[in-house]
Amino acid sequence: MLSKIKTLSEDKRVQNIIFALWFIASVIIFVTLQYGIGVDYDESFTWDLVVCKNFPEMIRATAEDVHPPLYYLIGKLFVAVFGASIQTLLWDSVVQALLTCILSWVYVRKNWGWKCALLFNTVVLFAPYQLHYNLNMRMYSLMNLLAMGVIFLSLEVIKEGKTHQFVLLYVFSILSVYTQYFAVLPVVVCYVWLAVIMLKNKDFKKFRSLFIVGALDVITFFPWLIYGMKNLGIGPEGRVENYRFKFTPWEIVHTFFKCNLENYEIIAMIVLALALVCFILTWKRFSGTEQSFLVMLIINSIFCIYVSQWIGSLNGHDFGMRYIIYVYLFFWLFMIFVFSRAGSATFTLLAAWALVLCLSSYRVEHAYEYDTTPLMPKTMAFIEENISPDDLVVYDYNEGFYMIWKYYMPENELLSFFNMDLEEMRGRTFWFLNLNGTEFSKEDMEKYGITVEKYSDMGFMGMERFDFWKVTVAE
Amino acid sequence: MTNAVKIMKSKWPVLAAVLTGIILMLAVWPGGMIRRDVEITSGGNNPYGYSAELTTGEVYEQYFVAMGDKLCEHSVAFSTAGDISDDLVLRYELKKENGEVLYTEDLFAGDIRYSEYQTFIPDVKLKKNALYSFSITAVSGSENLTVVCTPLPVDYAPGFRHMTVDGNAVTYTMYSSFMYDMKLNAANTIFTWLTIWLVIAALVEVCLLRKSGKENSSKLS
Repeated sequence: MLSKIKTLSEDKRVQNIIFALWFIASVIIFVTLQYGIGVDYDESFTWDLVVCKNFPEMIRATAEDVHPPLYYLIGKLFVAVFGASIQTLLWDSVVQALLTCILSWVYVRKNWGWKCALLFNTVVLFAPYQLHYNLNMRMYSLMNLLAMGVIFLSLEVIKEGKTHQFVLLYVFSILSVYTQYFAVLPVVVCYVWLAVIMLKNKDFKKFRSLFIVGALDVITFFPWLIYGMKNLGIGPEGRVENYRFKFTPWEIVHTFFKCNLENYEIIAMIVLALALVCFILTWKRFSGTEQSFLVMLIINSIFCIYVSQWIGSLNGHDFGMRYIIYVYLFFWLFMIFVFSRAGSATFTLLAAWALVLCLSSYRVEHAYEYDTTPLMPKTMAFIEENISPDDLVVYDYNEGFYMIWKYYMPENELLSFFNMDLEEMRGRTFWFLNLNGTEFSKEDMEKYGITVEKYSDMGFMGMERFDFWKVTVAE
Repeated sequence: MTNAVKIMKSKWPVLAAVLTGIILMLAVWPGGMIRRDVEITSGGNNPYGYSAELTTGEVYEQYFVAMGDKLCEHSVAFSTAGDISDDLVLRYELKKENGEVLYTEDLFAGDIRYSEYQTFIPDVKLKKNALYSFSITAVSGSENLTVVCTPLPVDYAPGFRHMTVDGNAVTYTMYSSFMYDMKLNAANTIFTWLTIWLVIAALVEVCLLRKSGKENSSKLS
């Protein structure tokens, strides 16, 4: 019986049927997480660019932003075809994650077997951190697709070096840097690795092809890089004072493996360390190419984590580990590959361990989608009944994040409390969205004859409760 | 010779590894070697809600059901509407349902911070699912001091029950956060067990097979 199952599982058609069933189940799981009634701060930025701006305005805005335009272009295409809604842009991200799975089903299966491919795909879709950003109206699932494309095609180029593989390497490389500036880092590491291996093997034909691909990447990206770099504020003027670097393993796993399981940081560090130990102890079980590929994954991860933060410290924009989200997949690919060579019991236990993490991730994401929105229906009804589109809405938050209020009140004029001149408000009535407990001073209340009606316990998705105050300033 | 056969042939190291795994499993559960802190809160990280002004001698009492068997810390949200009296003495009491006091702590003027949780450390054993209460009383100098509450329903947060002021029921709940020290639940226990066995299996398979000299570069099919 067992040998029959083993024979069946070696049949590629059976493997494809298993993958198809897994794929359908994954889509159903994503459907259960699509409550989609709220946006976070960054998602509101995507909405504004993709839905509210026309094409030239969007390109100009992305040049002034910290991300290049490819993701927004794809989003605009999705919206043009499927209509402007949160679900359209969420499924845009989900489709990109599913494409990563198809890509890895081809290349991971080819190199490490279908079980490794299926486990890696499960992690790509449902692991902590991954699941949240696969359901986020931002470019992070697209980054995973493109970065893993560069990684897989790098290995193919070394092993086979066919023309179409070099073409695909170029395509994935250029698309990734047009999605995220930090994507330059893993691409550079891959190209350097390829160059070193090719020169070491004296494979000058492949090296020439790599050089052409690299030159094309630079030529194609250079104009946008110059245009965008001027606005990125990188340099001494943009340097963030006392920037706190997240360098320790604990901080890195705390972000990447975040879930609702106890002591997950310590446990993740133990398993990652175990993978490193097993890699060293089973070194001879890997071919020369595999050894150097796995070493490249380690170097790529460390390089991306450290250098991206250093670049982030030179720019006034806050750096987030999500900008290098693909590093998390590098960790997983390394662990899956190494443990698959350790033995079948080890691999099976890794799969079970990963499944528990994915289940935890699902629960956390389900709670985020459904349990952080209890006040939304009441808030939306209040806005509908009481706040006219002509009303001014003042908010006590960072002016740069006004887009989230614009998403919920698209026609209202918005003004930051900290830029408000009460002298100009004389004789006016406006709404104050009070998120941070900001108060008018006693002196201002008396001087400007301010009266306030408070409406409490409002809230949008995932944020602390706020109040709406109806504020009237005397003539 | 298959890997499984080779492993079985090296039975003593394998048995020792299995025994170690079983001991570690039992130590985790039911041994409770690894525990977890569970926070149950009726409010967010930034208490900003309805403020109930304290009057000297008035007893604000919040009832709750214990969600764990050991209460490590308990935080209650306060706010100030102006300068606090230097004579302030704020008494916190943790009680059983029958009124027996399990823990008492007094706070003074210098201890109070504006719109923040004040933390008490009862560190007491409770009976899970039994009814308890905690009370806040301004023994003296209550001017400008308020307890922050939420007007949300009493069962909004798990374990929270009704609130009284001087024995009279009110329609709000104190912003409060309990930190329980608990054994791992089923999901965490299974996760920890899997980690233990993953480590043991990896070391056994790698070390024993390495010792046997078998090198295998074939992919896992």
